[in-house]
Amino acid sequence: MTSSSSSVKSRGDVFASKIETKITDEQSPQHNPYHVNKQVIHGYDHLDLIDNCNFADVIYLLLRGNLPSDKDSVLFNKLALALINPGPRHPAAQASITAGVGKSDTVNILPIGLGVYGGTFDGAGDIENIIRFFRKAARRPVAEFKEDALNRKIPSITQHYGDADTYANIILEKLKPYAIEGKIFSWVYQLQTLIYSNNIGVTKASIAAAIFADLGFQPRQGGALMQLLAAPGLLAHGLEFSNKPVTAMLFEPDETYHIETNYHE
Amino acid sequence: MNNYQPWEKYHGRIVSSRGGWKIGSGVKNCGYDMMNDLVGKASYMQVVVLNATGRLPNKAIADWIETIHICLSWPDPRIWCNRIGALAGSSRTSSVAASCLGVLAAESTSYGIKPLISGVEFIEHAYTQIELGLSVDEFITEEVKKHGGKPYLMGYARPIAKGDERIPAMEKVSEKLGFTIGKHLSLAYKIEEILSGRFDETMNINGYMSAFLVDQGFTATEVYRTFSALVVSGVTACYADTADRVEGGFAPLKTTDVIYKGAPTRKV
Repeated sequence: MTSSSSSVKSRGDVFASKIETKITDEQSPQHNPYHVNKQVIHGYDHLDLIDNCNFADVIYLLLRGNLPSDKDSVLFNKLALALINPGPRHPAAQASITAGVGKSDTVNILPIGLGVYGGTFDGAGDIENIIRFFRKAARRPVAEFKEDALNRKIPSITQHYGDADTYANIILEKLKPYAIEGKIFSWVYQLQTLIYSNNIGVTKASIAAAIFADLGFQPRQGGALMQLLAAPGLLAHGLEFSNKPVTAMLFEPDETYHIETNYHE
Repeated sequence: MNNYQPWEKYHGRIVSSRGGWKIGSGVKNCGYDMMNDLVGKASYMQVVVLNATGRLPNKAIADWIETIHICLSWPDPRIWCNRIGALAGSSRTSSVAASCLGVLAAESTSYGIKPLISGVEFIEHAYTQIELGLSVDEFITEEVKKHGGKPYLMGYARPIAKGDERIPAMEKVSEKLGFTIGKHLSLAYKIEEILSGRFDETMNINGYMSAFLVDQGFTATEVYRTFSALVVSGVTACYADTADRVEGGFAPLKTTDVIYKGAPTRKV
């Protein structure tokens, strides 16, 4: 038998002849159409933003299309600070450190750290799913979800190394004054009060997802945005080790390296 | 007349010396018809080299290159690129992301792919110097001087351990595939002999493969491009191992495992 797929024909799809964007408008000087003499971001002159905005506000602008209100600006900045440093023991920071001490090209340190931070363990990998869940669930009374939470059927509501995440709970409390008016943060906060005594609770991903949702970010933006906010800490730890000798990082001795022998048996 | 003419010929069009897919008439690659000339006729590694260099190598050199990928991609998560794969598995990233991140890490000046450029340049430079009349002994003395009296010649010595078990393994492969020792590899052995006597250091796999590949006509850039994904398989192995264990389970650290040596506690 032979497949009839040997005849290959174009489907005739019509592709864009020019890309379209709502984010950036660039204008060129007369002498070179590849140069820019004016850049507008969502209607704002880039130079005006340099003069009058902070970094996080322009991140918000780029992704949401408008500058944040004063209140949202405070909340977004507080969340950015809350997520800024996953700490040196986080696997993503460990990856950055490994890249640094291994003398990987320094421009590769951040992609490596962020790539590992894109996992679902204490990272950004499940944020899209979490935002979608919270947005839907927060329409209903939180008490209805207590059992599911205790049975770990709610994304990101879990344990961390065997217990409810201590620092996530601290961060949740810290952000409460800035975020509690948000419908989804409020719902997540209430859920935490119902379940934390049972040694299960929110993670940093839960907090990020709730505030992203309250600020109006779309689920598909959440994972990458959480990565962006954690980038400074991951980068700092990697760069710290990039000038250290390779012996500054762990290299477990053979005595502590156990090779299992259950393969091929 | 303007200053941007070099870019104008590429504006609105793709220009490729390699080839491409013309729907209905097939895929071209460096003058070969992919489906008729290469698929089922050339090995995967022959096509990897073709893609990297624009030249289709003979089967023997492609087999040699494939074999050295095995030598340089082993499943020990203590090796830096592999550790990143293991951490990625432990963090529940995807296999694709983990493998790519490990490859990115191997773009290092200490190990992996980048030193191959220096390895090729080193043995070419050594050969030129010897041709110009320097003795191998004098050449080594000059090189050691450059490194503050330490025998850090590119392609010799090795981090973590002395000696390199991969070289005898590859020597057997080279012999089996019918390769003879070329002029650069021959010089590499002479350097090793003297370096071993003076500093108790030997050739490493970088030195061996750089000299061998120069003898086979590869440039430094071609070697770098050909071996872009050199370590990927070992990274994937380390990813797969930790991805199948408890999350966060690869080399978990307690707070007491990290010693803080920064500024004392202070207020903003």
